[in-house]
Amino acid sequence: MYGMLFSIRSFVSKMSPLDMKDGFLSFQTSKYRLHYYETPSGLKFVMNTDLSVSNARETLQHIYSNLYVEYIVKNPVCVLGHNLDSELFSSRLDAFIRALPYYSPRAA
Amino acid sequence: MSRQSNRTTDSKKMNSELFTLTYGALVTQLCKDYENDEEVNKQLDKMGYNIGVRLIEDFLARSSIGRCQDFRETADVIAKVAFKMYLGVTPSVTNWSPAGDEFSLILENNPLVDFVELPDNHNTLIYSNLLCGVLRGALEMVKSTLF
Repeated sequence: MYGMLFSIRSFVSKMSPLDMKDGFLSFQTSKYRLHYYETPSGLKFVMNTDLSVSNARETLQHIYSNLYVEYIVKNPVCVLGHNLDSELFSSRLDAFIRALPYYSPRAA
Repeated sequence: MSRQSNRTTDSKKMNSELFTLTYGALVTQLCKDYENDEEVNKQLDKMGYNIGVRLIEDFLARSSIGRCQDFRETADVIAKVAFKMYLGVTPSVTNWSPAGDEFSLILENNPLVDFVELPDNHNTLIYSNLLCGVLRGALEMVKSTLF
């Protein structure tokens, strides 16, 4: 998946006529929409939703600042770059996603 | 309302003294353990590096600053945003090299060294070397790679 995202990202940056602000945000197919958020430190957040969700950038930003930074980065036991191995992070992330306005438990 | 703000300024002052004392205790213990200033400098740099690698994520999350366009912007962000956010001081950016690839950050008052005097037998000790390590670790995580 990394190769695909990298290609799309560099394609977007080359195509931009002027100063590219946020770069690659999302792409959609007939079945789903993939949302993408990248931090300046190279961390990439990907979320797949159905077609009704148009902008998940703020959601991904919230996941980064309030969940990832709080529960993974600030935890000295979690080695950055390895698998995210924190129960607290998983449960908080799950609770957060379930509380999103556009999340419906119908599917899954 | 005023009582609330009093409390926050009090707690900030408390944290700063505890922080200064903690750092002092850390350096003192390192000096006792290694007994060699060069080694202590190296350890402080390593510790700072580990801090910096994580601190950059917290910084990016809190400040929502995007990528810097050039080195001068990087210098400004470090001095005016990052140092202000974490140490409450704004160092001055001076001494640019002619090629524009080196500069100096001068800290007028450094919270790490409040109340600290180095004795004569530790001439080569770089007391605040932790800060150098933090900068090294943080910047290494955001150096331009792909694109």
